[in-house]
Amino acid sequence: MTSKSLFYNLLREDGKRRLWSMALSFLVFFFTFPVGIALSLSERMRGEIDHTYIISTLKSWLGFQNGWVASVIILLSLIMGVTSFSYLHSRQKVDFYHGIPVNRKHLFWVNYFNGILIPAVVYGINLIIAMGVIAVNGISPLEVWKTALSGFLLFMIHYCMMYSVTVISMILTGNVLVGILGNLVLQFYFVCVIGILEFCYSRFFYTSYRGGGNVFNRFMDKCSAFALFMVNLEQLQPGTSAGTQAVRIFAVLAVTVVLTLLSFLLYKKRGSEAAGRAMAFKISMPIIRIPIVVLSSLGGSIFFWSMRSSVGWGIFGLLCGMLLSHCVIEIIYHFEFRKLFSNWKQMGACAVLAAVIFCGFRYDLFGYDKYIPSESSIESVAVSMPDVNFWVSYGSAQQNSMGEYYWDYQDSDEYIFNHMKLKDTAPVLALVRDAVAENQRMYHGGDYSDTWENGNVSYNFSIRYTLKNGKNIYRTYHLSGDEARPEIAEIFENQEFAKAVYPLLLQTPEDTAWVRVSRGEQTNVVSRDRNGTEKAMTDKLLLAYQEDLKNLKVETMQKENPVATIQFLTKMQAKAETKREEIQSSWKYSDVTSRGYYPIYPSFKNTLELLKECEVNVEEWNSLEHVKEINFDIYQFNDYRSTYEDKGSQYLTITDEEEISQIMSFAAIDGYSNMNPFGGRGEERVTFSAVTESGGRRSETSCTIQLNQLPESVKNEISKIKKDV
Amino acid sequence: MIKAENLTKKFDDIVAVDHVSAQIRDGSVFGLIGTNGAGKSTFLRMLSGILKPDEGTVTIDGEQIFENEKVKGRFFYISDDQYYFNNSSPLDMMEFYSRIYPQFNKERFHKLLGSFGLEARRKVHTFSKGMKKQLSVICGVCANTDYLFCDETFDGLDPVMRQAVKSIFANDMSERNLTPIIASHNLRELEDICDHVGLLHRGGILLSRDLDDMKLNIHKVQCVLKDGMTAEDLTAMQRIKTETRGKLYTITVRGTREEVEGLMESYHPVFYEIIPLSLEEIFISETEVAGYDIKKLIL
Repeated sequence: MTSKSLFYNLLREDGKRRLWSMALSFLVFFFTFPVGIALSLSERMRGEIDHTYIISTLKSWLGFQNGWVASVIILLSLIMGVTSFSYLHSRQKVDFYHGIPVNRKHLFWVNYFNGILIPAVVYGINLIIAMGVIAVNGISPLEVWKTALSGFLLFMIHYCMMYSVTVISMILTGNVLVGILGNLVLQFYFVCVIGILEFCYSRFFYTSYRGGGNVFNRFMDKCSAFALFMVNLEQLQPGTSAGTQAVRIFAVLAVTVVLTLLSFLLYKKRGSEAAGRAMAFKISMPIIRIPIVVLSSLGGSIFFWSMRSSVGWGIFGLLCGMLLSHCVIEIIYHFEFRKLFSNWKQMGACAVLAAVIFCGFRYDLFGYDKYIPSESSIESVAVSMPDVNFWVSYGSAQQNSMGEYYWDYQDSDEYIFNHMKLKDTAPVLALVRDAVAENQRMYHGGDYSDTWENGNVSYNFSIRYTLKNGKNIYRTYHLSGDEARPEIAEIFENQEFAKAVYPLLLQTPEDTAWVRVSRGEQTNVVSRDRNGTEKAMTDKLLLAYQEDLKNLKVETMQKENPVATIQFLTKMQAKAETKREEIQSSWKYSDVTSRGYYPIYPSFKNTLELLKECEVNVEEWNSLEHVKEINFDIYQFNDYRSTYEDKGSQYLTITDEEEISQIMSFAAIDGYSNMNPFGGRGEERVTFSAVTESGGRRSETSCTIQLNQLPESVKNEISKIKKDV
Repeated sequence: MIKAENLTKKFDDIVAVDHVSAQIRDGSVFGLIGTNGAGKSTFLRMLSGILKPDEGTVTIDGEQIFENEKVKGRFFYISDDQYYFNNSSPLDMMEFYSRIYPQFNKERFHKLLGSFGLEARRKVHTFSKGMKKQLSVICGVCANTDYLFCDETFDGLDPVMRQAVKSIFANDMSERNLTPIIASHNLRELEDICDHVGLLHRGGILLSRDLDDMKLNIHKVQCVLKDGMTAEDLTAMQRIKTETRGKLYTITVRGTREEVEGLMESYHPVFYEIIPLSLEEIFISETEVAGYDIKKLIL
């Protein structure tokens, strides 16, 4: 008999042995594709929904973005891997298969390929049936076949990768249950390592960078086949660059080939006598046990430490993690309870290693929080201050394949770090030195007597140091003190800083369609590029506002507050707004069209002049004569301990013109005061409603003011109210 | 010919087979005897290429067995607990083996199934232990291989079936020079079929002899000696064992029948006769000489 015919004979015989797994796979795929699509199409057709939408739904179901199929693939890779090689765990079966005149390499490849062929054939057949279902429903399968094929291929290569891991775990072990546990270890050990490191990093390192996602997440796809699959589910989607997709697909193929060869090598090395033991290779026992015990000990210590922040509980957790993991693994290894303390010296060494790692984080043994790059080694720095830019929208309006508009969100730090390269590092490093010193005193020095909020404003800032060697270092600092200390003012007034923080400063007239101004409840389009008629004004307004914003000084912001906001709609935003008006929907695309408002300060003369030209009554913004009454809602003075009692009026009303004049001279419109980072954030503020009357029309505007800026009489009234409640 | 040289196999700290050497001639029946845990199954599993020896070699006509498809096609291994596919019938097993063993005789398979009273389409998992053993023998015989490795195959077979199997073996040996290698812990099972016997104990081989040689070179003499003579006076005889009951001596001695008779004549006993030894008695005698109490090893 030739080897080739023997191979196919064995393949066929093995297929017969696995009829149940074929039936199971077929059922799952049958209900997923033909039945699922038939149900979906019958619903859609009845509703006469847009053809584009149906195609889009079909593509998302047949393509790689189908989460349900991803779950099926994961489950099948486990089932098929186990059924393909579970015979290795039975002496009876091993004697049978290894006693027949079939080379082990043939046996391996027969079992290995059948584990791939079965789901591939079943998946493929059901896709073909699904195409028939689509055709019967009046849709050409040609419209979706490419997506279906690419989904099939992508899912299958990921299946092969996951399946290979299961095969390795089955070959490494001598018992099905231990094999499944081994698979979990191979798939999730490094994911847990990442999770614990991430926790330690963010919990113990006070200068760890907290923005832009988790630091260790970028290693996630390198943790295991499962993690790579999960990351690829997100990455291998329309919108990701072809290059990135190609690299990711190549990585999956390369990993699959390596895992397959490794499993073949292990299979050849595996002795038949391993059947029935926990582990097939003695050498693998400590290699698997030691990392698990170290991680469990570390995990235990961190778990209990995070609950009570005490070293004692940390040690208790460490011991619990160590004992539980070591003893359970030893019992599994030997199938013998009394062997639980085997290799106790290694257990102790694992605990010591875990303790060193814990202390490394807890006591910053490696000086992570103290680290400041030397000034000479820094090429540039980028600073992100959430207190300055939290109201800025980063990203852009986009339109998807179905014609829907959406806001493509971009992380603020990511945007700022990509756009900022400050060469003047002195003020930044001065802030950093102070923050590091404060950190050392308060955390690593064990001085917990002070708190961040003790009488000062506290603020966070994240920094990306770009070193001359090309390396990027990220840190987040927390500092208390004067909100307008000279270094901060210097950074803020740096034009490079402003350009990187405010995307509007990089917006071009070519991409600007409309200008809208908002004050209180009122929003007006002041310049609309309809048939190009107002384009010149739109451009002038944009350039004028950019100039005003660039020249905005800290000193100005300490004196003034925004009186209105202005929005320069991009062309895509304008399209979304037009569509919204057409369909007369108040909510549709509001997330797209409401973004990009910037503050107008009274000192923005260029802008205000042009707005006047556009017939915006900017004079009224600073006019106090129309404010007839000010109402303070007294409920704002209740603290959480008080209970509500009806004590008469809900409002403290001020009608005295002099008091109104004094209050309004310091007041800011409530929604805009937060746009000013130097408007006295640290001071206690109160809100009130300013009632205006103009032309017989009464309207209210919600305003805010620092408590200490109120007239004495009002302050006294408020003090009395506070005492009462 | 199968040749095992210095075969050694360890399982962790346990030495299952310890430097065992043996030769199995074609066309003869090799019996491998030993207690449970003596290493019989391990030895057979190494012979059939399932286990890789830690030391030593095992060859068939000079060719290594392990991972050698061609050589492995020359034997059929029947384990002590033969595996059958889940939910399979004898027909399914026949189909499988016929794809693996090109010389598999399907016609004979059906014939033997009928002879043994086994239903071809009945599920194997509904068979009794003995029926499964019968099926394994039928599969093994019909594979038409040169060698048949049987691990405790007769254990579980009733006497009638045991005889039937023995007769099939005898028939195949004469017709196509089949060489069965039978491992068993029961000497009596092998007595009337083995040509050569190897005795394994604690992983090592105690003795390996042709049964005929053993039977021809050892005899039991019952005699009554002249007055004044005792068994101690029979100095010319190679006595292995002596039992006394009154004046009646039962002496196990080495030597051919002619030599023993000649010597006895020379001592002019009152009465003597040479009586046959069972395989069991031969083993008892041989192993006692080697310093072992066979009754504790086997039986």
